[in-house]
Amino acid sequence: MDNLDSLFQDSLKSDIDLDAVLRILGQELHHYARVLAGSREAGEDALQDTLVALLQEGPKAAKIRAPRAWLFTVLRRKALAYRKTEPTSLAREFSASVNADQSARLMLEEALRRLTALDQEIILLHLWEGLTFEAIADILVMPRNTVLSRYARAIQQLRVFFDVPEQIKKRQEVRCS
Amino acid sequence: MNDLPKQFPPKEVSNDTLDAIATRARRKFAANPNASAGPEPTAQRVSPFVAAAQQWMRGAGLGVLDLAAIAALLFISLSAAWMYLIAPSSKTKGAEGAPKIAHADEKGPVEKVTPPAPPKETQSLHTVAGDGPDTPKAPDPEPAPPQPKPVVLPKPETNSNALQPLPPEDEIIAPAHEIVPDEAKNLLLPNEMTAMTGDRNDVVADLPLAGSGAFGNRNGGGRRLMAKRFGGSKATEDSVDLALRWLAYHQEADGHFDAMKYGAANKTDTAVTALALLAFLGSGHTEKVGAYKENVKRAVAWLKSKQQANGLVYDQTDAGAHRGIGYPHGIASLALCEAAGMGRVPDTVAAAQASIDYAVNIQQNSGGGTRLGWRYAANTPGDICVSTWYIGALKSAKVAGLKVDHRAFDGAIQFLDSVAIMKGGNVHYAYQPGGDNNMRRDAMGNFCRQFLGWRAADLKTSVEAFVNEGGAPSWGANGATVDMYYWYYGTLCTFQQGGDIWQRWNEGLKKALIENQCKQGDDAGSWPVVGDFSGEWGRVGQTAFGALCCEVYYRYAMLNAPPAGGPMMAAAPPADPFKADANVAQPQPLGAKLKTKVSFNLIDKSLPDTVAFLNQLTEVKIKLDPKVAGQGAISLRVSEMELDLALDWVTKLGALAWHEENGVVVISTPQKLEEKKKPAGKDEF
Repeated sequence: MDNLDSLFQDSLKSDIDLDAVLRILGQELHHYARVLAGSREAGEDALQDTLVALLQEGPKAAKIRAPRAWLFTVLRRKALAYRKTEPTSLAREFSASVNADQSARLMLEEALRRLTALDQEIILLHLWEGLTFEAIADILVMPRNTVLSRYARAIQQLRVFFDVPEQIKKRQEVRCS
Repeated sequence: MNDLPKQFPPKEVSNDTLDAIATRARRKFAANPNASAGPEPTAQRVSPFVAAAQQWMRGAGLGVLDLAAIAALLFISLSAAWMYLIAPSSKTKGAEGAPKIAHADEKGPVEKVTPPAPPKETQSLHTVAGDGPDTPKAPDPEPAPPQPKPVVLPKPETNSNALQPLPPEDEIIAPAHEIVPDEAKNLLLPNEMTAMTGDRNDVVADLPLAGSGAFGNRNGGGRRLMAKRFGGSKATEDSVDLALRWLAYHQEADGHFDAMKYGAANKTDTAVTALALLAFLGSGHTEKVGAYKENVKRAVAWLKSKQQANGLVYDQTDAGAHRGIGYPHGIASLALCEAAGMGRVPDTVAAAQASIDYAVNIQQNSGGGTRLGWRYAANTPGDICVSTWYIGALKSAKVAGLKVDHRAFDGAIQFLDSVAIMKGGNVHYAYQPGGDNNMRRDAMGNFCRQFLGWRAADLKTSVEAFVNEGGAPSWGANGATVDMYYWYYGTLCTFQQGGDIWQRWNEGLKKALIENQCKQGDDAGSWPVVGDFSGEWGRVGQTAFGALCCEVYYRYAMLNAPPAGGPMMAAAPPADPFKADANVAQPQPLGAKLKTKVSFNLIDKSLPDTVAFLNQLTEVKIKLDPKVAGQGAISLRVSEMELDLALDWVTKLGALAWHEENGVVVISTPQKLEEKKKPAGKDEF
């Protein structure tokens, strides 16, 4: 984080070093963009636009209080704009973007599908991207306590899903179908 | 649940891809530095008027704050103009129908204006601190009749043997109108006090310490209700009253308690003053309300007077060489946080914040690296006894609405993990990493887990194990088996656990404490200085611990409370048919053993460790193919799951399979197990 802060501070002297920014946050930003935008291509476009926006800030980038949250906020806006053109399932993109075998991915998708889109995003940002609740509240423009309560509820739902023995799950599925 | 990312890590993107994205971004920016990038997001679409305003602001070099300041100045000017120019003229004209505002120097009849309902935050404060229906919802337009003041016990000049009769209970408990003093109405209690449910890793989620708001069950009807509901009685309440009276009479004039005057071997005034303060607070007495508010005020003032600029609360004349600052500051910090949360006195809130900041700063490795626990000196390897006070303080601070660095909670969890040891299939807690456990440490460890959000179901066996080992409270001949420190944490822990274990503990506790509280003379209301460690805190500490144990029913909310009106204790679980078989020494078939319900939490355990653990946990013999021993790590949590399903999960995570072979479960690769099956011809037509 300190490195990111100093990189943003350096924008007072010269153009911000995008390579260095991506070295620090590239993986997380790419993953988030891909999931949120609905495809790898759209996600990369959103990330590229975010970097352009950062360059456009010029020396003003030094005044950004929380660089990490700023990047995620701008990226979110860009990614959602791309996503509007082609609605996709966040849960599917989310599970497709993780490194696991097919059955585990399906299980994860099923668990996430039971959450609301907003809850999925909070889970994604906190568990996978490692953002604090304060940063998530900034990004999603909502109170921190709302983020906390939504997160707790979502975790509870995931826990119930993962703790239910497989046999019972199957039985429920049979009943539902 | 935070194990999820480990099980499902994000796919990594190559550095080449990221470099290409950065290059494209630079090119696009160089081609047209001012062009908007990508599709225009909805959030950024603005009306032409707003866009023009934004452009003007940018041109004038104004920010949002500047604009807000201009708007505020404009508003004030217009208001002043209305008040002094327009309003008087409209009054003289006599605007009919509109109610007039009563003015001191205005003559003639005026219509009384009903004051508006209090703002939302004031109402919520009433709800939080008051007692339901008795709490006023809005200020009364009529002057309120004088309310009876709560009785304050006079502080005798000397330690008199002559005890005065207790005031009636209704007078000890403050009237509802005093519960929310005017200066506290502007202070908001944190929203997170209400609805959060805990998660193992989500330590910032607040579990409420009391059901109707912060510390709200400690006074009024809530206190009586909770005592009745969770196993207290008139005898326990009388015991608390007597203990508090003894403490009140033996407080020094400047507010502190003299540990050595009443049997302590060392000067530990900071710690025992904080303990006594906790006992007063635990019964609902604050700096503003309650029969002992003067005692609370003086104790808080004394602790604040001993606070140093860096936040440390410590009397320099205490025996510093004896256990350092760890205990005194931890206990004082806990007491100040509770006092701040209950009284909301700004000075106390500030002192509590400073003390909790200092606590965070002296956590082991607070300067860098993985944070862990606390001990006698700052930033030294922690032990479970000192750390437990700090974990309690952090939690109380959070509930009191103070700012607490979440890394301190993370460190506390790391520390608990580092001292957790597995014995006989149950988790126990050592004094320091690599050490051994005892029942006292187990009680502390489990209590910390409960306050950090662990579920009762996950801790059940561990709590039962320490109670079985250490036993429920029992006084014994001449106090031979007394251990107030163990009883204090055991009480907090088993209360939170509830069910049969709490019932068992509570019966022992009530008998031991009520029967052995001193009844006569200057000692009436206190407990004798007997038992392990009692020389550390003397009679003051002993009495404070006794009172705190008797206050357990309402001091902190029961996190796994049964529904209102329901039975106090959980129903006894149905008899386990398999255990009945074991009683008559009949060997169980493997199939039945595999249906045993298990609960465990594995984090990054190797396969051999996992198998060894499962062998210890159950009666089933599980063998691991040595060729797959080095395969992967297992992170899995199951709760009340049948063993065969748990084995399915374990093997699935390790890309393996299991089958039964001669009454033993064998874990190996699916191919190998398939090969073994084939000669038997079971799957072949």
